[in-house]
Order: sequence, then structure tokens, then C-alpha cells
Amino acid sequence: MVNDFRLVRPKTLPEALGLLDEFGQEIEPVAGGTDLLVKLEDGRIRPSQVMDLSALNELKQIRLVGEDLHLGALVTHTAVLESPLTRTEAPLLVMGCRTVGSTQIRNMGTLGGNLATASPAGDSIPALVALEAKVVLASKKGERTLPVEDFLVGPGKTERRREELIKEIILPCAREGEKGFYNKLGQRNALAISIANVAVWVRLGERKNTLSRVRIAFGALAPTVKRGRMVEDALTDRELDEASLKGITQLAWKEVAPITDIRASAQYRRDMAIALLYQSLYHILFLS
Amino acid sequence: MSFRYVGKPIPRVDAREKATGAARYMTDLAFPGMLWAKVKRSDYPHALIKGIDVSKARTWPGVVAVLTWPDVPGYNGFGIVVPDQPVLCRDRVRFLGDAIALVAAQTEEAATKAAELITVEYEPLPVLEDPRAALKPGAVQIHAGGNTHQHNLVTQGDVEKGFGEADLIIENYYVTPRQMHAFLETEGGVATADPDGGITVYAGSQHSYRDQLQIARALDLNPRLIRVVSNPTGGGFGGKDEIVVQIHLALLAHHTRRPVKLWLSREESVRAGIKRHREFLYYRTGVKKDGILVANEVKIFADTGAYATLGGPVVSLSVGHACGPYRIPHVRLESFCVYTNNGISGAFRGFGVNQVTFAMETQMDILAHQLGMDPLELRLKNALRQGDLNPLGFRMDTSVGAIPSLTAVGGSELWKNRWAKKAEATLPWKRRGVGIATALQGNGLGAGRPDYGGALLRLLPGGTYEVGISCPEIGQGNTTAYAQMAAETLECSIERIRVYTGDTRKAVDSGSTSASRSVYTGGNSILAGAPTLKERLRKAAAGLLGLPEDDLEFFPEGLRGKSTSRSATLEEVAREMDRLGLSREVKSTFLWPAAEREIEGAPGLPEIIYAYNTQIALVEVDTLTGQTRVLEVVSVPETGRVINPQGLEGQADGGAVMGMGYALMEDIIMEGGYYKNTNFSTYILPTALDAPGHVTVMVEESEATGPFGAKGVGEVVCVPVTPAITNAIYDAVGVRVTKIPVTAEEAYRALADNSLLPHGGTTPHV
Ligand SMILES: Cc1cc2nc3c(=O)[nH]c(=O)nc-3n(C[C@H](O)[C@H](O)[C@H](O)COP(=O)(O)OP(=O)(O)OC[C@H]3O[C@@H](n4cnc5c(N)ncnc54)[C@H](O)[C@@H]3O)c2cc1C
Repeated sequence: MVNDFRLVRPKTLPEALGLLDEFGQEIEPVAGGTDLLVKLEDGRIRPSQVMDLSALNELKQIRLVGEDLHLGALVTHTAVLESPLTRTEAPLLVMGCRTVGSTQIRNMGTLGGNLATASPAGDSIPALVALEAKVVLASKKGERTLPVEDFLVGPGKTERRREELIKEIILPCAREGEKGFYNKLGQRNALAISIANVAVWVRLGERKNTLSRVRIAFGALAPTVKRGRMVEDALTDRELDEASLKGITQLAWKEVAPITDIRASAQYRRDMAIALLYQSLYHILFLS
Repeated sequence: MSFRYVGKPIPRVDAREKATGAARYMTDLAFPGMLWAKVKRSDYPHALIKGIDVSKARTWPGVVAVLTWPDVPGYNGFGIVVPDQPVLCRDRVRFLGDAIALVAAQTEEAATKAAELITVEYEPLPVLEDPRAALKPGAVQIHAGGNTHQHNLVTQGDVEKGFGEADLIIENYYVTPRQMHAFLETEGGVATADPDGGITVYAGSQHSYRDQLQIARALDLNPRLIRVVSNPTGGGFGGKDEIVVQIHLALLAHHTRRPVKLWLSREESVRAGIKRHREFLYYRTGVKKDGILVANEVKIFADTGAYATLGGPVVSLSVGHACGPYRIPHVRLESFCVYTNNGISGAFRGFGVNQVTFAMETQMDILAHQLGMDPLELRLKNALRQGDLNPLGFRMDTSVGAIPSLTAVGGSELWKNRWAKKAEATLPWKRRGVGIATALQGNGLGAGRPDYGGALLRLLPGGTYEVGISCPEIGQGNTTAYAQMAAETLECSIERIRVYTGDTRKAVDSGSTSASRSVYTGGNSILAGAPTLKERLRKAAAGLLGLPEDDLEFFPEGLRGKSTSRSATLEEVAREMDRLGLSREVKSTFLWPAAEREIEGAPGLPEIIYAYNTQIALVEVDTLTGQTRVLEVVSVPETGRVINPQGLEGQADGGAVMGMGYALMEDIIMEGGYYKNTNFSTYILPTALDAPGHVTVMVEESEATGPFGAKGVGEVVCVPVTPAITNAIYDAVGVRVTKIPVTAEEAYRALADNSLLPHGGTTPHV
């Protein structure tokens, strides 16, 4: 059952950062609340103060800055799906966010919340890692920027300090010749936590069926979302057909270290790293 | 015959209220001065209780009452068939849901905290989790009478002789899951203490009158002092047939004399509520070369959990339906309904038929493949017809819809175009398949159990009728069906009918909303009572209008002369009845037809009336992940005359999805008596995005004993779809499913075993 707490609702980012600076240890920020409320309800956390971020309009923007796309931490999954900017500049992220929960969850849940929760199964995170996105953390003392991949420390653990807020996420815009695929395996078609997922972002090579740059991120297959650098290298700059794809994607099982839980066994998950990667690359190379 | 209301898609009488959220369910109710209740439940799946200490709870601020077993004034037990489940445990707990103490406090928070402060000293006992292990000699005995709650054995013909005649014999083992009803409204409600010393319990339920009796037994009170209101109920599916919260509510109101609310969280509902029986089934089936079934041997081990509830009847139905809707001359059907320390299993839509239909219809599919026969043809060849002897040895005297249903499925677009549909798979790693299955489902309570109904029909002074039939509305639409049948029978406008269900003060006892019985019972009860009431109306109207009684006819607003323009409204007739001293009220009684004798070796069998359904499914299997998507389902229920086609479609849509969840996703997993999935984040139900395209084709074989020819719809619609889906998986990828639910992982493993994977099976262990 949810405990009693004080709710604060700062109007500006500096005000929010000031509160965090003062009460950092006992204050819990809340954006969409779709993760936090679950934890409050089952008593996993019992904060004395909750800071509602929903008035911080400056964190709800999606902006183009030079070659980069800046997404505020409070951008919802629905906003990602509906923004014309993300659709052209970050189609892989759109694919990831589309698989989050259900319409209701996507309307409330935010990118910042998904990142801060740092679930190995978070569905926006593989896209962010494959896109080599960066996260901007702000505190009263200033800002720092980290690659998303380094921001993640373990399940539910990040580099964020208690006095910091996630301010925004920065990712490079899609370029000509770049394509991606997000492949999620869940126990059903909606409201499903990933059993395994993979995000693939590639640049097509000049020769047919080649890739000059490959970025792969696996979700729910390791303590954090995990880049697949070995497979990336093996796929780069060589001619690919169905047979070679089958061979190379087998390497995926060397990239991952999944666990057994109520949704699936470690063994199955490892196999799925291969299957999902194979299907993703097949879509990219031969179907679109 | 043409009807004004019967057979028409009349909008549900409760649609507006429910769609707008205006409807108040029992758990929505609140009363001034209401207390909140919590239950202290067992910490062990099986243990002796050595001591219960409630002292800290009693003194916690806000706590008004803490009750333990000495506070149960009457019989400390409940259960529809055998009252073997303690209201509050005294010296032993048999599963994690067992209740030990009740707390009522000013706030929900205080009640929760106080319940946590109750300490119980236990001496743990060995835990039985597998019904087969529970039958082994030396196993700890869960109840004084042993671990076998019920053993059934039915033989007909000579099964070994039958196998001797067979050209092909197949033998398989099947396992089915502990499916959960997953109603939206978890068990709960409010009880109030009435000024006359009585108690009113407002709680969702499927049988208000039996709740009344069970509450009365535990409280040692005249049942007339207990009123149970259970309309509307936010979903039942069998899970609210038995008591879960009702006695606890009444007990707390009785002791505190204040309104008390108890509403289980989803986690507590999982822990304390009822599930579908997990069954382990052995099937050996023999057939001649030409496809004629000759022998069937079935052995069932059913996990009934810690207490009896309706376990016995459920497993009897497993036996009764084990052979499907087929003629088989030689059978041996045996079942063991066994106590374990798992969550309780009891009534659940299908009532033991789902498990055996999955097994039998898989057997049929295997036989068809091995004989090289079309699976539809094999079924048609063996299907029961009216007048046939059923495998259990009784004659099918009432309408038998197996062949009409099978024939109609054969004419459906999906079946006719199945080869083309299968070829439409979208990606190189996807394979499509089509599967078929059929089933019958007994309606009513069966032999040796008096099954009755009744209706209260009352013309009010304002010219509307009250129709009181106690079978609660649990969402399936019986209220609307009653309104239709009452308006049709009383020959009035449906606007003039008010239906009351699920209230022991406003309706006469009509039994439960279960066993596909509510429309059949309620309709026949209306038909039984209406002529008497109409006769009185006619008499009064004749006097009013100065016309002979047989010159009168009913019209939507009253009665009129057949050949004159003289008419009297219902309001005028009511007034005249009062003047003449004619009662405006009739209470009817209806008795179900029942078999003259029970089948030997199977208490409760047979049912007399059966509904039928054939379902086909088109699935697409991802051979790389093992995931199955059900793309299309066609259902052909044969349930007698359809009272409301829209209502039937709603039942069939929901049934198809429920049976799909059973095939692919749903299972309450238990280990050592502990629940592994405790809420909807890990108990996986289909969502709207998983639901297949669904078409319902109605075949109406009028049932002579049914009201307007109707039979029961509610259960059979969810039964054969399960094996239709698993048979379709076989058709798609050659994996034979004998254990459900078949998750993606399990299908994948089977696929990997078959080495259909492009990358050649599972990766090596490291
Ligand atoms: C039914 C259901 C289904 C779901 N399905 C999915 C799914 O399919 N895929 C998926 O990935 N997730 C899923 N989720 C999880 C959740 O919806 C997402 O992780 C969502 O993105 C969380 O965002 P939020 O704004 O609601 O986070 P909140 O609950 O508001 O916050 C989550 C955590 O992040 C912290 N936080 C939030 N914003 C910031 C910030 N700007 N700076 C610092 N800390 C911050 C909070 O303090 C809290 O600890 C599901 C959740 C539910 C309840």
C-alpha cells in the first residue's frame, strides 16, 4: 500500500534542481508515474517526498539542433510516435517506443522515466544505445553528458546521482542510407515485458547487400541493454546473403548473458538473441 | 412462429448504465461509518497451527474488531458440496489462501497494518503439489478421509475387446493448466448489520441463495435474517460460485454491528480464489481403418487443491465429456479428484470439459492424420445423433447439434479456403495452419441433484411488471434475455418489464448462474408462471371491458377486444385486479428434466441437455521464435434457439479469446504450494491486440424442453477453440501439443527438437 508522502510540484527546472539539492536523499521524482506507482503500491519504495515533474514544460520539447535531435526527458512514448521530427530523424526510436505497454502507458510514460528505471527490458533503451545517444544530466551545480550505454550500470542502477535530473537525450539524426529495425519478443502483443529484444541501426554499403556501419543493441539479454560489437564487426563490409546471415548471427549468443525468470529461460533467451537479430537484418536487407 | 423480442438483437437493458460507468457494483458501495476489513492468511501451504497471537493487532489504533475461530458462532466450515473449508482456521492450514483471522478497522491502512501484526506459530507439514504423488502410499493426508476426494470409474462395453477390434490404437499423455477466471472485479463487497438483527451482504456472486444458506450455517442464524445482494457482479466465469468473502463479511458485520467492506486485491484474489483444475490425462483410443471409433480408455488425475468446493462435480463432468460428442461402444473412464496443498480448484466456465476436450480432440486429430482422413470427415463419421447411445450408456434424447455444427463449419469461408489461407504466410520463417475441434457441454446440474428454478412475476399498480429471478447477472446478459422472454410471454412491451436478479429479497430462488443454466431456467420459470398471471389479468379486463374472456387479446400496453376497439391499459387492469381481490403476483416453480438414474461410478452424471460447438482456427507460427498468432477463428455454437443473437455473439467472442488464452498463455504456476505469478503482470491474459478475427455462425436446433427452444450458451463457446488452435499449430509446423499452455518457448523447443530451425536447434550450453 502506498505510504503518505509530501508532494512537491516545481514550476521550473532550476526550482526542481534546487529541491533535489536540498532533499536529494529523500525525494523521488515522478514523470508519468507508470514505473513509480507500481513501486509505491507494492511498498518497494517509501519516499517521504515525491516531486512531480509534470509542470516542467521545458523538458517536453523535441528539437533539432544542428545534426542532432534533442528529446526532453519528459517526452512521452506517444509524443515520440506522433512527432514528425522523430519519424524522419529517429525512426528506430519510434519503432521501440511503439512497443511500450499500451496506448494508456505510452500516453503517460516518458523517455526519462524509461531510462531512469534502467530495466534491462526497457523498450526505448536498445534504440538509444544502437543510435549511440547521449543523456544530459542536470544538477544545481551544472550539467554533464554521458553516452546512454555508459549511463546504465545494472538492473535499476544508473550513473544518475540523487541530486541530478535527466534533462534530455541527444541522438544523431538519421542520415541518407541509414535504416533500422526493432524486434521485440514478448508474451503477447501488448502490455508485454520483453523476453528479449534487439535494435539494429545500419548504414547501407555501396555494394548491394553490404553494410558499411552496423550498430546492434540487445535488450533483456544481459544486466543492462548491451551493444553487440562482435556481431557488428562481423557484419560490416561484407556481402551478405541468407546463408551468411544465418552464420554470422549465431555469434549473438556470445554477446549476451541472460537469466531465467518466470517469462523465459536463459537458454531460450540466448537463442532468441540470434533469432531476433536474424529477422531484423533480414528485414533490413531483403524486405525493405 | 414469429416473435417480437425473442431472437432479436435487443440492446442490453444494462448497457447504458455499464457503458457510462453509472452502474454501481457491490464493491463500489459505501455506507456511513463503514469499516475496512483485512484477512490474515496462512504463511505456509501446509502446517499445523500451534498458536495465534492477535494482541498487538487488537490494540493497534483504529482497530475495531479482530476475529479468530472462536468467533464463528455456527459451523466453522463452508463448501457447496462438502463444507470442509474452515471459515477461520483453528489448528491447521492446508493452502496459502487459508484464512486465520479477520480485522476490521476505521481505515484500510489500519486494517492492513493490524493484520500484519498478527503472529501465528506453525509446525510445517510436508507439501503435496502433484495429485499423482498425493495418491502414493505414505503421503501425508490432507483431510481425515484421505487425499482422494472423489474417484469415478465408468465402463461400457468391454474396452479390451474394443481395442482388439481396432486397426489403429494411439496412446498419449496430456497436461492442462491452472487457468484463472481473471474477472475484472475481484472478490469483495460490503456487509451491513440490519436493525432487525439480520445481516445484508452485498457481494458479487453467482448464487445469492446458496450464499445465504452458507452464511446462515456459519453464523447460526435463521437464513431469513440474511439478505444477499449480488447484482451486478463484475464477472464470474465460475469463480464466484463458491464463497470467498461472503461469510467473512457477514461475520464482521455481525460482531461489529457496523457496515464493513472487504475487497481482495488482485494478489489476494490469486491467493485465495478458485482456479480451473490442473489435470493430468492419459488417453488410449482405438479406431477401425474406416475411421469408426471402437474403444477409448481415459484416466484422469485432477488437482483439486486444498478443499472440495465443486471439485467432485467438475471432475465428474471431465469423465462425462471425456469421449467428446462421439459414439464409442467400448470405454473405460476413470478419474481421481485429489486434494493437494495448491490453490483451490472448482467451478470454471466449461467445468471440467475443457481439459478432456483438449485431449480428446487432439486424439481425433492424430487419428485423422494417421488414417489419412480429413479431420472433419472423421468427426462427422463418429458424431452422435439424437437417439444414439452416448459412450456412457445413456440415450441422447434431447436435441443433438454435433452434426449440424460440424457441417456448418465445413461450409465456412475459412474451412473452404484453408489451403489458400495457409499459403498466405507473410515471411519466410512463418508457417500457417488450420485446426478444427468440436465439443459438447452438459447444461444444468445433472442427475441426482435437484435442479430447479422459479420466477416472481408481479404486475405493479403503474402497469409495469417486476420479474424476479435470482440467477445473478454476471455480465453475460441473462437480465436482457429474461426481459425479452418475459415481454414475449406476457405479450407486453419490453419497456414494461423490470428484471431483478441476484437479490434474495427481490427474487425467488432460481439457483445459480452456472452450468450454462440461467437462460434455460429463468425462461422456463417465466413460462411456468405467466399463464396464471395472464389468466387473472384477462379476468379483470373482461369485467372492465364487458367482454367475454376469450374475446380478449393482449397488446403491448394492455388488453383489448379482438373485434372491438375497446381496450384497457395494464394500469387500469391492475387497479381492477385490486378491486376484485385478485393477486397481482405469481411465484412459479420449474423443475429441470433429469435422468432417471445416475450413471454408475460417476455421481451427478449424466446431464440431459447438451449444447454443441465446433471451432476452427487459423494460426501463424514463427518458426524462429516459436510464437503463435491466432489470426482467425470461426465458432459454430449450436445452443438451441438463440434468444439474443448479439448476446450470443458477445459470449462467443469472449469464449474464443478465453479458450485461446488457455491454449497459449494462461497458467497459475505453483511451486511447493507457493504462487509464482501473483497478478496480471505475470499471469498472462490475451489482450485486444492478441484477439483473432472472429466469426460466429449460429446453428439453431430447437430444443423441445427449452424456453422458446433455447439451451445454454455460456460455456461451450470457450471449449473446442483450445484444441482447434493446438491442432492448427500441428498443421502449421508439425509440432504436436500435448501440454498447454504452449508458450513460444515451449513451441520453440519442440521445433528445435524437430530441427526445423534454419540455424539447427538450440545453441550449445556454455
Ligand atoms: C502496465 C505497464 C506496462 C509497461 N510496459 C512497458 C513496456 O512494454 N516497455 C517498457 O519499456 N516499459 C514498460 N513499462 C514501464 C514504464 O511505462 C516505462 O519505463 C516508462 O517509460 C516510465 O516512464 P514514466 O515517466 O512513467 O516514469 P516514472 O514512473 O514517472 O518514473 C520512473 C523512475 O524514473 C525516475 N525519473 C523519471 N523521470 C526522471 C527524470 N527526468 N530524471 C530523473 N529521474 C527520473 C523516477 O524517479 C522513477 O524512479 C510498463 C509499465 C506498466 C505499468
